[in-house]
Amino acid sequence: MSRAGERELLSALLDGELPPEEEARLRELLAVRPDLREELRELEAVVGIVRDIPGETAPEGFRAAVMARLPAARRRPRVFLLVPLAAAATLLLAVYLAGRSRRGTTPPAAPLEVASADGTRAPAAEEKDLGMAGGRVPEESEARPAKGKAAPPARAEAKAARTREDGNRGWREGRVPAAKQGEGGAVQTALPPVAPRAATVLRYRLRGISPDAAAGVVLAELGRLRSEGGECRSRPTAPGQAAGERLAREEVEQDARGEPVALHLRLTVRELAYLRGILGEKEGAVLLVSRGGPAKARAGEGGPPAPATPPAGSARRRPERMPVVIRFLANR
Amino acid sequence: MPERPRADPGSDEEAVRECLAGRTEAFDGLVRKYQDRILTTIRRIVGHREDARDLAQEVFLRAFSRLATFRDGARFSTWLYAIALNQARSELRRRKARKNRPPVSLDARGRDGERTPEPADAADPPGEELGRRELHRLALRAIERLPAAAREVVVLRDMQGLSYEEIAEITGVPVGTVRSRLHRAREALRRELSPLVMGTEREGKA
Repeated sequence: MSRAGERELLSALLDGELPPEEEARLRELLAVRPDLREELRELEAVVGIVRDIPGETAPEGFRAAVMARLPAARRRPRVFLLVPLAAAATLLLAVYLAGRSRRGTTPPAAPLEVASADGTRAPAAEEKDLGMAGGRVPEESEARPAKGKAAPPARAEAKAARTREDGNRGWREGRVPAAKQGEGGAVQTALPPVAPRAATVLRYRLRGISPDAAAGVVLAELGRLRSEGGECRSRPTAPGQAAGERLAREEVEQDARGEPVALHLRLTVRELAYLRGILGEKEGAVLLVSRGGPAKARAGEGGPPAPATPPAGSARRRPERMPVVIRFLANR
Repeated sequence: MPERPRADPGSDEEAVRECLAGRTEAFDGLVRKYQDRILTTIRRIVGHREDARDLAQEVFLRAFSRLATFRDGARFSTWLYAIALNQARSELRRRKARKNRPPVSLDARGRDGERTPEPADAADPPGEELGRRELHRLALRAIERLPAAAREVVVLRDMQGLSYEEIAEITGVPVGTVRSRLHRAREALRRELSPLVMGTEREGKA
Protein backbone atom coordinates (compact mmCIF):
# COMPACT_ATOMS: atom_id res chain seq x y z
CA MET A 1 0.00 0.00 0.00
CA SER A 2 1.31 3.46 -0.88
CA ARG A 3 2.15 5.94 1.82
CA ALA A 4 -0.60 8.26 0.57
CA GLY A 5 -3.04 5.39 0.75
CA GLU A 6 -1.92 4.57 4.27
CA ARG A 7 -2.39 8.18 5.36
CA GLU A 8 -5.86 8.29 3.88
CA LEU A 9 -6.69 5.22 5.91
CA LEU A 10 -5.30 6.89 9.05
CA SER A 11 -7.63 9.81 8.52
CA ALA A 12 -10.63 7.53 8.06
CA LEU A 13 -9.56 5.49 11.09
CA LEU A 14 -9.77 8.59 13.26
CA ASP A 15 -13.34 9.07 12.11
CA GLY A 16 -14.34 5.46 12.69
CA GLU A 17 -15.26 5.30 9.00
CA LEU A 18 -13.13 2.33 7.97
CA PRO A 19 -14.74 -0.98 7.09
CA PRO A 20 -13.79 -3.62 9.74
CA GLU A 21 -11.44 -5.56 7.49
CA GLU A 22 -9.54 -2.42 6.43
CA GLU A 23 -9.31 -1.30 10.02
CA ALA A 24 -7.91 -4.65 11.10
CA ARG A 25 -5.27 -4.50 8.36
CA LEU A 26 -4.31 -0.96 9.30
CA ARG A 27 -3.99 -1.83 12.98
CA GLU A 28 -1.64 -4.66 12.07
CA LEU A 29 0.45 -2.18 10.11
CA LEU A 30 0.43 0.30 12.98
CA ALA A 31 1.72 -2.36 15.34
CA VAL A 32 4.93 -2.73 13.31
CA ARG A 33 5.33 0.80 11.90
CA PRO A 34 6.41 3.49 14.39
CA ASP A 35 6.39 6.12 11.60
CA LEU A 36 2.71 5.45 10.96
CA ARG A 37 1.97 5.62 14.66
CA GLU A 38 3.69 9.00 14.83
CA GLU A 39 1.68 10.26 11.87
CA LEU A 40 -1.53 9.06 13.45
CA ARG A 41 -0.61 10.88 16.65
CA GLU A 42 0.07 14.12 14.80
CA LEU A 43 -3.09 13.83 12.78
CA GLU A 44 -5.09 13.15 15.92
CA ALA A 45 -3.62 16.22 17.60
CA VAL A 46 -4.42 18.48 14.65
CA VAL A 47 -7.93 17.15 14.26
CA GLY A 48 -8.32 17.59 18.00
CA ILE A 49 -7.52 21.29 17.71
CA VAL A 50 -9.98 21.81 14.86
CA ARG A 51 -12.71 19.98 16.75
CA ASP A 52 -11.96 22.07 19.80
CA ILE A 53 -12.60 25.40 18.04
CA PRO A 54 -15.73 26.85 19.59
CA GLY A 55 -18.74 27.12 17.33
CA GLU A 56 -20.67 30.28 16.63
CA THR A 57 -23.63 31.25 18.73
CA ALA A 58 -26.51 32.90 16.98
CA PRO A 59 -26.95 36.45 18.24
CA GLU A 60 -29.90 37.37 20.33
CA GLY A 61 -32.89 37.99 18.15
CA PHE A 62 -31.67 35.80 15.32
CA ARG A 63 -34.54 33.36 15.62
CA ALA A 64 -37.08 36.10 16.12
CA ALA A 65 -35.77 37.87 13.03
CA VAL A 66 -36.18 34.71 10.98
CA MET A 67 -39.68 34.10 12.27
CA ALA A 68 -40.64 37.72 11.67
CA ARG A 69 -39.61 37.44 8.06
CA LEU A 70 -41.59 34.26 7.50
CA PRO A 71 -45.04 35.62 6.69
CA ALA A 72 -43.98 36.68 3.20
CA ALA A 73 -42.70 33.22 2.58
CA ARG A 74 -45.41 31.43 4.53
CA ARG A 75 -47.87 31.24 1.73
CA ARG A 76 -45.41 29.92 -0.78
CA PRO A 77 -46.25 26.26 -0.32
CA ARG A 78 -49.89 27.14 -0.75
CA VAL A 79 -49.36 28.85 -4.07
CA PHE A 80 -49.21 25.57 -5.82
CA LEU A 81 -52.66 24.64 -4.67
CA LEU A 82 -53.70 26.97 -7.44
CA VAL A 83 -52.23 24.66 -10.00
CA PRO A 84 -55.23 22.30 -10.11
CA LEU A 85 -57.45 25.36 -10.37
CA ALA A 86 -55.27 26.74 -13.14
CA ALA A 87 -55.47 23.36 -14.83
CA ALA A 88 -59.25 23.48 -14.59
CA ALA A 89 -59.24 27.00 -16.04
CA THR A 90 -56.97 25.84 -18.83
CA LEU A 91 -59.35 22.98 -19.45
CA LEU A 92 -62.24 25.36 -19.95
CA LEU A 93 -60.06 27.31 -22.34
CA ALA A 94 -59.12 24.11 -24.14
CA VAL A 95 -62.76 23.15 -24.54
CA TYR A 96 -63.43 26.62 -25.90
CA LEU A 97 -60.50 26.27 -28.30
CA ALA A 98 -61.56 22.83 -29.39
CA GLY A 99 -65.03 24.12 -30.07
CA ARG A 100 -63.61 26.82 -32.28
CA SER A 101 -61.18 24.61 -34.12
CA ARG A 102 -63.91 22.12 -34.98
CA ARG A 103 -65.66 24.80 -36.96
CA GLY A 104 -62.97 24.94 -39.58
CA THR A 105 -59.89 23.18 -40.79
CA THR A 106 -57.58 25.98 -39.69
CA PRO A 107 -56.90 26.92 -36.10
CA PRO A 108 -58.83 29.88 -34.82
CA ALA A 109 -57.43 33.11 -36.11
CA ALA A 110 -59.16 35.34 -33.62
CA PRO A 111 -57.10 36.31 -30.63
CA LEU A 112 -57.95 34.81 -27.31
CA GLU A 113 -59.14 36.99 -24.58
CA VAL A 114 -56.19 37.62 -22.37
CA ALA A 115 -57.26 38.77 -18.99
CA SER A 116 -54.69 40.64 -17.01
CA ALA A 117 -54.06 40.02 -13.38
CA ASP A 118 -56.63 42.51 -12.22
CA GLY A 119 -59.30 40.75 -14.17
CA THR A 120 -59.55 43.19 -17.02
CA ARG A 121 -59.12 42.30 -20.62
CA ALA A 122 -55.87 43.12 -22.27
CA PRO A 123 -56.12 45.38 -25.30
CA ALA A 124 -56.28 43.75 -28.68
CA ALA A 125 -52.94 45.21 -29.78
CA GLU A 126 -51.23 43.60 -26.86
CA GLU A 127 -52.87 40.31 -27.62
CA LYS A 128 -51.35 40.43 -31.04
CA ASP A 129 -47.97 41.27 -29.62
CA LEU A 130 -48.24 38.41 -27.19
CA GLY A 131 -48.58 35.99 -30.03
CA MET A 132 -51.56 34.48 -28.35
CA ALA A 133 -53.52 34.20 -31.56
CA GLY A 134 -54.28 30.65 -32.54
CA GLY A 135 -52.02 28.96 -35.02
CA ARG A 136 -48.83 30.72 -33.96
CA VAL A 137 -45.95 28.35 -33.38
CA PRO A 138 -43.09 29.75 -31.32
CA GLU A 139 -39.60 29.29 -32.71
CA GLU A 140 -38.54 27.38 -29.68
CA SER A 141 -41.01 25.84 -27.41
CA GLU A 142 -41.34 23.32 -24.70
CA ALA A 143 -44.63 21.58 -24.62
CA ARG A 144 -45.59 19.67 -21.55
CA PRO A 145 -48.26 17.02 -21.59
CA ALA A 146 -51.65 18.58 -21.37
CA LYS A 147 -53.21 18.17 -17.97
CA GLY A 148 -56.42 16.57 -19.10
CA LYS A 149 -57.09 19.43 -21.40
CA ALA A 150 -59.11 17.24 -23.71
CA ALA A 151 -61.14 15.72 -20.91
CA PRO A 152 -64.74 16.80 -20.57
CA PRO A 153 -65.39 19.33 -17.82
CA ALA A 154 -67.00 16.73 -15.59
CA ARG A 155 -63.64 15.03 -15.35
CA ALA A 156 -61.77 18.14 -14.36
CA GLU A 157 -62.30 17.68 -10.66
CA ALA A 158 -61.51 13.99 -10.87
CA LYS A 159 -58.35 14.82 -12.75
CA ALA A 160 -57.34 17.46 -10.25
CA ALA A 161 -58.06 15.03 -7.44
CA ARG A 162 -55.96 12.41 -9.14
CA THR A 163 -53.15 14.92 -9.45
CA ARG A 164 -53.42 15.52 -5.73
CA GLU A 165 -53.45 11.82 -5.00
CA ASP A 166 -50.71 10.69 -7.32
CA GLY A 167 -48.52 13.72 -7.13
CA ASN A 168 -45.76 13.83 -9.61
CA ARG A 169 -43.12 11.51 -8.32
CA GLY A 170 -41.26 11.51 -11.60
CA TRP A 171 -39.73 14.92 -11.04
CA ARG A 172 -37.78 13.44 -8.17
CA GLU A 173 -35.80 11.62 -10.80
CA GLY A 174 -35.87 14.60 -13.10
CA ARG A 175 -38.12 13.02 -15.68
CA VAL A 176 -41.60 13.52 -16.88
CA PRO A 177 -43.90 11.13 -15.07
CA ALA A 178 -44.75 8.09 -17.11
CA ALA A 179 -48.41 8.47 -16.32
CA LYS A 180 -48.40 11.96 -17.76
CA GLN A 181 -46.42 10.94 -20.79
CA GLY A 182 -49.07 8.48 -21.68
CA GLU A 183 -51.95 10.82 -21.13
CA GLY A 184 -51.28 13.40 -23.84
CA GLY A 185 -53.02 11.53 -26.58
CA ALA A 186 -54.11 8.38 -24.85
CA VAL A 187 -56.99 9.82 -22.89
CA GLN A 188 -60.26 8.74 -24.43
CA THR A 189 -62.44 11.77 -24.64
CA ALA A 190 -65.61 12.91 -26.24
CA LEU A 191 -63.80 15.85 -27.80
CA PRO A 192 -60.98 15.78 -30.33
CA PRO A 193 -57.59 16.09 -28.64
CA VAL A 194 -56.15 19.55 -28.39
CA ALA A 195 -52.46 20.01 -29.00
CA PRO A 196 -50.64 20.96 -25.81
CA ARG A 197 -49.84 24.63 -25.73
CA ALA A 198 -46.28 25.52 -26.41
CA ALA A 199 -44.61 27.04 -23.43
CA THR A 200 -42.85 30.35 -23.27
CA VAL A 201 -39.21 29.63 -22.53
CA LEU A 202 -36.85 31.91 -20.69
CA ARG A 203 -33.26 30.79 -20.52
CA TYR A 204 -31.04 32.39 -17.95
CA ARG A 205 -27.30 32.19 -17.66
CA LEU A 206 -26.55 32.40 -13.96
CA ARG A 207 -23.69 34.51 -12.69
CA GLY A 208 -22.67 34.28 -9.09
CA ILE A 209 -25.95 32.72 -8.10
CA SER A 210 -26.80 29.07 -7.81
CA PRO A 211 -29.75 27.51 -9.64
CA ASP A 212 -31.14 26.75 -6.22
CA ALA A 213 -31.02 30.39 -5.23
CA ALA A 214 -32.42 31.51 -8.58
CA ALA A 215 -35.34 29.11 -8.30
CA GLY A 216 -35.89 30.27 -4.74
CA VAL A 217 -36.05 33.89 -5.85
CA VAL A 218 -38.58 33.17 -8.59
CA LEU A 219 -40.79 31.06 -6.36
CA ALA A 220 -40.64 33.47 -3.45
CA GLU A 221 -41.45 36.43 -5.71
CA LEU A 222 -44.27 34.52 -7.34
CA GLY A 223 -45.66 33.61 -3.94
CA ARG A 224 -45.47 37.21 -2.81
CA LEU A 225 -47.00 38.49 -6.02
CA ARG A 226 -49.92 36.13 -5.77
CA SER A 227 -50.56 36.66 -2.10
CA GLU A 228 -50.39 40.42 -2.51
CA GLY A 229 -52.50 40.29 -5.63
CA GLY A 230 -55.21 38.48 -3.72
CA GLU A 231 -55.08 35.50 -6.01
CA CYS A 232 -53.91 33.09 -3.35
CA ARG A 233 -57.20 32.56 -1.66
CA SER A 234 -57.51 28.85 -1.57
CA ARG A 235 -57.93 27.60 1.94
CA PRO A 236 -55.70 24.59 2.30
CA THR A 237 -56.61 21.69 4.47
CA ALA A 238 -54.02 19.26 5.72
CA PRO A 239 -54.46 16.93 2.73
CA GLY A 240 -54.40 20.03 0.56
CA GLN A 241 -51.01 20.89 1.93
CA ALA A 242 -49.80 17.45 1.03
CA ALA A 243 -51.06 18.11 -2.48
CA GLY A 244 -49.21 21.41 -2.44
CA GLU A 245 -46.07 19.57 -1.47
CA ARG A 246 -46.29 17.26 -4.43
CA LEU A 247 -47.40 19.91 -6.87
CA ALA A 248 -44.49 22.05 -5.87
CA ARG A 249 -42.23 19.20 -6.85
CA GLU A 250 -43.89 19.14 -10.19
CA GLU A 251 -43.00 22.75 -10.76
CA VAL A 252 -39.31 22.29 -10.10
CA GLU A 253 -37.40 20.18 -12.57
CA GLN A 254 -34.26 18.91 -10.94
CA ASP A 255 -31.11 17.24 -12.13
CA ALA A 256 -29.76 14.02 -10.66
CA ARG A 257 -28.20 15.95 -7.78
CA GLY A 258 -31.43 17.62 -6.85
CA GLU A 259 -30.34 21.01 -8.21
CA PRO A 260 -33.17 22.80 -9.95
CA VAL A 261 -32.61 23.12 -13.68
CA ALA A 262 -35.95 24.58 -14.66
CA LEU A 263 -39.21 25.82 -13.29
CA HIS A 264 -42.41 24.88 -15.05
CA LEU A 265 -44.99 27.46 -14.17
CA ARG A 266 -48.33 28.72 -15.21
CA LEU A 267 -48.28 32.48 -15.16
CA THR A 268 -50.49 35.34 -16.06
CA VAL A 269 -49.12 37.89 -18.49
CA ARG A 270 -48.49 40.28 -15.64
CA GLU A 271 -46.69 37.69 -13.53
CA LEU A 272 -44.49 36.76 -16.45
CA ALA A 273 -43.60 40.37 -17.17
CA TYR A 274 -42.69 40.91 -13.55
CA LEU A 275 -40.75 37.72 -13.00
CA ARG A 276 -38.67 37.89 -16.15
CA GLY A 277 -37.06 41.06 -14.86
CA ILE A 278 -36.46 39.88 -11.33
CA LEU A 279 -33.50 37.62 -11.90
CA GLY A 280 -31.60 40.07 -14.02
CA GLU A 281 -32.31 43.10 -11.89
CA LYS A 282 -31.91 41.71 -8.42
CA GLU A 283 -29.84 38.60 -8.84
CA GLY A 284 -26.96 37.46 -10.96
CA ALA A 285 -28.65 36.10 -14.03
CA VAL A 286 -28.60 37.13 -17.64
CA LEU A 287 -31.57 36.43 -19.84
CA LEU A 288 -30.16 34.61 -22.84
CA VAL A 289 -33.20 33.55 -24.76
CA SER A 290 -36.80 34.45 -24.45
CA ARG A 291 -38.79 32.45 -26.93
CA GLY A 292 -42.45 32.01 -27.39
CA GLY A 293 -44.82 34.85 -28.01
CA PRO A 294 -45.96 35.71 -24.52
CA ALA A 295 -42.41 36.33 -23.34
CA LYS A 296 -42.43 39.51 -25.37
CA ALA A 297 -45.26 40.78 -23.27
CA ARG A 298 -44.79 44.08 -21.55
CA ALA A 299 -47.77 44.01 -19.30
CA GLY A 300 -48.37 47.32 -17.67
CA GLU A 301 -46.06 49.19 -20.01
CA GLY A 302 -48.63 50.10 -22.59
CA GLY A 303 -50.60 52.49 -20.45
CA PRO A 304 -53.70 51.65 -18.49
CA PRO A 305 -55.47 48.47 -19.43
CA ALA A 306 -58.46 48.70 -21.69
CA PRO A 307 -61.81 48.97 -19.97
CA ALA A 308 -62.99 45.63 -18.82
CA THR A 309 -65.58 43.96 -20.94
CA PRO A 310 -66.39 40.73 -19.20
CA PRO A 311 -67.28 38.03 -21.68
CA ALA A 312 -70.85 36.90 -21.52
CA GLY A 313 -71.48 34.31 -18.88
CA SER A 314 -68.07 34.61 -17.23
CA ALA A 315 -68.32 37.65 -15.02
CA ARG A 316 -65.76 36.24 -12.57
CA ARG A 317 -63.31 34.97 -15.09
CA ARG A 318 -59.84 34.35 -13.71
CA PRO A 319 -56.79 35.68 -15.48
CA GLU A 320 -55.57 33.20 -18.03
CA ARG A 321 -52.34 31.44 -17.19
CA MET A 322 -49.90 30.35 -19.80
CA PRO A 323 -47.25 27.66 -19.50
CA VAL A 324 -43.83 29.17 -18.89
CA VAL A 325 -40.52 27.37 -18.54
CA ILE A 326 -37.71 29.20 -16.78
CA ARG A 327 -34.51 27.32 -17.49
CA PHE A 328 -31.28 27.90 -15.64
CA LEU A 329 -27.88 27.47 -17.21
CA ALA A 330 -25.36 27.40 -14.42
CA ASN A 331 -22.24 29.38 -15.12
CA ARG A 332 -19.67 26.84 -14.09
CA MET B 1 -52.30 3.61 -2.51
CA PRO B 2 -49.66 3.02 0.11
CA GLU B 3 -49.88 4.96 3.31
CA ARG B 4 -47.40 7.81 3.58
CA PRO B 5 -44.86 6.99 6.27
CA ARG B 6 -45.44 8.93 9.45
CA ALA B 7 -42.55 10.80 10.99
CA ASP B 8 -41.75 10.28 14.66
CA PRO B 9 -43.53 12.70 16.94
CA GLY B 10 -41.14 15.45 17.93
CA SER B 11 -38.80 14.74 15.04
CA ASP B 12 -37.64 17.35 12.56
CA GLU B 13 -39.61 15.67 9.85
CA GLU B 14 -42.78 15.88 11.93
CA ALA B 15 -42.12 19.58 12.46
CA VAL B 16 -41.85 19.96 8.69
CA ARG B 17 -45.23 18.29 8.28
CA GLU B 18 -46.73 20.64 10.82
CA CYS B 19 -45.33 23.64 8.98
CA LEU B 20 -46.78 22.37 5.74
CA ALA B 21 -50.12 21.93 7.46
CA GLY B 22 -50.06 25.62 8.29
CA ARG B 23 -48.67 25.49 11.85
CA THR B 24 -45.81 27.88 11.22
CA GLU B 25 -44.78 27.96 14.87
CA ALA B 26 -43.31 24.48 14.39
CA PHE B 27 -40.57 26.13 12.35
CA ASP B 28 -39.48 28.07 15.41
CA GLY B 29 -38.25 24.86 17.02
CA LEU B 30 -36.27 23.97 13.93
CA VAL B 31 -34.60 27.38 13.84
CA ARG B 32 -33.77 27.12 17.53
CA LYS B 33 -32.29 23.68 17.06
CA TYR B 34 -30.16 24.44 14.02
CA GLN B 35 -29.33 28.14 14.16
CA ASP B 36 -25.92 27.74 15.80
CA ARG B 37 -24.90 24.84 13.59
CA ILE B 38 -25.91 26.57 10.38
CA LEU B 39 -24.33 29.82 11.45
CA THR B 40 -21.06 28.09 12.36
CA THR B 41 -20.99 26.16 9.11
CA ILE B 42 -21.48 29.26 6.99
CA ARG B 43 -19.13 31.39 9.04
CA ARG B 44 -16.33 28.87 8.74
CA ILE B 45 -16.81 28.58 4.99
CA VAL B 46 -17.36 32.21 4.01
CA GLY B 47 -15.56 33.97 6.83
CA HIS B 48 -17.11 37.31 7.61
CA ARG B 49 -19.34 37.21 10.60
CA GLU B 50 -21.97 39.67 9.45
CA ASP B 51 -22.25 38.06 6.03
CA ALA B 52 -22.57 34.70 7.72
CA ARG B 53 -25.44 35.91 9.89
CA ASP B 54 -27.30 37.33 6.91
CA LEU B 55 -26.71 34.17 4.93
CA ALA B 56 -27.82 31.96 7.82
CA GLN B 57 -31.09 33.87 8.00
CA GLU B 58 -31.52 33.42 4.29
CA VAL B 59 -30.93 29.69 4.71
CA PHE B 60 -33.85 29.37 7.09
CA LEU B 61 -36.10 31.57 4.99
CA ARG B 62 -35.23 29.62 1.89
CA ALA B 63 -35.74 26.35 3.70
CA PHE B 64 -39.16 27.49 4.82
CA SER B 65 -40.19 28.65 1.39
CA ARG B 66 -39.06 25.32 -0.04
CA LEU B 67 -40.43 23.05 2.65
CA ALA B 68 -42.87 21.68 0.13
CA THR B 69 -39.97 20.23 -1.83
CA PHE B 70 -38.62 18.36 1.18
CA ARG B 71 -38.82 14.69 0.29
CA ASP B 72 -40.29 11.98 2.44
CA GLY B 73 -37.58 9.79 3.87
CA ALA B 74 -34.93 12.50 3.68
CA ARG B 75 -33.22 13.89 6.76
CA PHE B 76 -34.15 17.46 7.49
CA SER B 77 -30.71 18.25 8.92
CA THR B 78 -28.95 17.05 5.78
CA TRP B 79 -31.37 18.97 3.60
CA LEU B 80 -30.84 22.12 5.63
CA TYR B 81 -27.05 21.79 5.54
CA ALA B 82 -27.25 21.39 1.76
CA ILE B 83 -29.16 24.66 1.50
CA ALA B 84 -26.60 26.30 3.77
CA LEU B 85 -23.75 24.99 1.65
CA ASN B 86 -25.43 26.28 -1.50
CA GLN B 87 -25.77 29.70 0.09
CA ALA B 88 -22.15 29.71 1.17
CA ARG B 89 -20.96 28.62 -2.27
CA SER B 90 -23.10 31.29 -3.93
CA GLU B 91 -21.61 33.90 -1.66
CA LEU B 92 -18.07 32.81 -2.50
CA ARG B 93 -18.92 32.90 -6.20
CA ARG B 94 -20.42 36.36 -5.85
CA ARG B 95 -17.29 37.59 -4.15
CA LYS B 96 -15.10 36.04 -6.76
CA ALA B 97 -17.18 37.67 -9.46
CA ARG B 98 -17.08 41.07 -7.79
CA LYS B 99 -13.46 40.79 -6.78
CA ASN B 100 -13.88 43.79 -4.60
CA ARG B 101 -13.70 41.96 -1.35
CA PRO B 102 -10.72 40.57 0.45
CA PRO B 103 -10.34 36.79 0.48
CA VAL B 104 -12.14 34.72 3.06
CA SER B 105 -11.08 35.49 6.57
CA LEU B 106 -12.05 32.97 9.18
CA ASP B 107 -10.45 34.66 12.08
CA ALA B 108 -11.84 37.71 13.77
CA ARG B 109 -10.79 40.20 11.11
CA GLY B 110 -13.66 42.07 9.56
CA ARG B 111 -14.03 42.56 5.85
CA ASP B 112 -12.00 45.74 6.00
CA GLY B 113 -9.19 44.01 7.76
CA GLU B 114 -10.22 45.55 11.06
CA ARG B 115 -10.24 43.19 13.94
CA THR B 116 -13.59 42.72 15.55
CA PRO B 117 -13.06 41.21 18.97
CA GLU B 118 -14.87 38.03 19.86
CA PRO B 119 -14.59 35.86 22.95
CA ALA B 120 -12.43 33.21 21.34
CA ASP B 121 -10.10 35.91 20.19
CA ALA B 122 -9.29 37.26 23.62
CA ALA B 123 -5.73 36.95 24.83
CA ASP B 124 -4.60 33.68 26.28
CA PRO B 125 -3.92 33.64 29.97
CA PRO B 126 -0.36 34.79 30.69
CA GLY B 127 2.19 32.07 31.07
CA GLU B 128 0.90 29.89 28.26
CA GLU B 129 3.43 29.81 25.43
CA LEU B 130 0.90 28.86 22.82
CA GLY B 131 -2.49 28.72 24.42
CA ARG B 132 -5.61 27.08 23.10
CA ARG B 133 -7.02 30.30 21.75
CA GLU B 134 -3.93 31.06 19.79
CA LEU B 135 -3.94 27.52 18.45
CA HIS B 136 -7.55 27.96 17.41
CA ARG B 137 -6.70 31.16 15.64
CA LEU B 138 -3.82 29.55 13.78
CA ALA B 139 -5.98 26.58 12.90
CA LEU B 140 -8.67 28.87 11.53
CA ARG B 141 -6.05 30.64 9.43
CA ALA B 142 -4.86 27.30 8.08
CA ILE B 143 -8.41 26.21 7.31
CA GLU B 144 -8.96 29.52 5.56
CA ARG B 145 -6.13 28.76 3.17
CA LEU B 146 -7.62 25.42 2.15
CA PRO B 147 -9.41 25.17 -1.18
CA ALA B 148 -13.14 25.72 -0.71
CA ALA B 149 -14.05 22.07 -1.34
CA ALA B 150 -11.55 20.90 1.27
CA ARG B 151 -12.72 23.54 3.71
CA GLU B 152 -16.30 22.32 3.33
CA VAL B 153 -15.48 18.75 4.32
CA VAL B 154 -13.34 19.82 7.28
CA VAL B 155 -16.14 22.05 8.55
CA LEU B 156 -18.83 19.44 8.07
CA ARG B 157 -16.79 16.60 9.56
CA ASP B 158 -14.62 18.11 12.27
CA MET B 159 -16.76 21.04 13.31
CA GLN B 160 -20.22 19.62 12.73
CA GLY B 161 -19.45 15.97 13.37
CA LEU B 162 -21.34 14.69 10.34
CA SER B 163 -20.72 11.25 8.91
CA TYR B 164 -19.03 10.70 5.55
CA GLU B 165 -22.35 9.56 4.15
CA GLU B 166 -24.12 12.71 5.27
CA ILE B 167 -21.31 14.88 3.91
CA ALA B 168 -21.50 13.06 0.59
CA GLU B 169 -25.21 13.77 0.42
CA ILE B 170 -24.76 17.43 1.32
CA THR B 171 -21.86 18.16 -0.97
CA GLY B 172 -23.10 15.98 -3.81
CA VAL B 173 -19.96 13.89 -4.20
CA PRO B 174 -19.34 10.16 -3.56
CA VAL B 175 -18.28 8.97 -0.11
CA GLY B 176 -14.85 8.01 -1.48
CA THR B 177 -14.33 11.59 -2.63
CA VAL B 178 -15.30 12.88 0.80
CA ARG B 179 -12.71 10.57 2.36
CA SER B 180 -9.91 11.62 0.05
CA ARG B 181 -10.77 15.34 0.27
CA LEU B 182 -10.79 15.12 4.03
CA HIS B 183 -7.49 13.32 4.02
CA ARG B 184 -5.86 15.95 1.79
CA ALA B 185 -7.28 18.77 3.86
CA ARG B 186 -6.00 17.25 7.08
CA GLU B 187 -2.60 16.61 5.57
CA ALA B 188 -2.38 20.29 4.71
CA LEU B 189 -3.44 21.24 8.22
CA ARG B 190 -1.00 18.79 9.72
CA ARG B 191 1.88 20.29 7.73
CA GLU B 192 1.03 23.73 9.07
CA LEU B 193 0.02 22.93 12.58
CA SER B 194 1.82 19.83 13.75
CA PRO B 195 5.10 21.65 14.54
CA LEU B 196 3.12 23.91 16.85
CA VAL B 197 0.98 21.17 18.30
CA MET B 198 3.71 18.65 18.86
CA GLY B 199 6.04 21.36 20.14
CA THR B 200 3.43 22.45 22.62
CA GLU B 201 2.79 18.87 23.66
CA ARG B 202 6.48 18.22 24.19
CA GLU B 203 6.88 21.42 26.16
CA GLY B 204 3.83 20.52 28.16
CA LYS B 205 5.32 17.17 28.99
CA ALA B 206 8.75 18.56 29.88
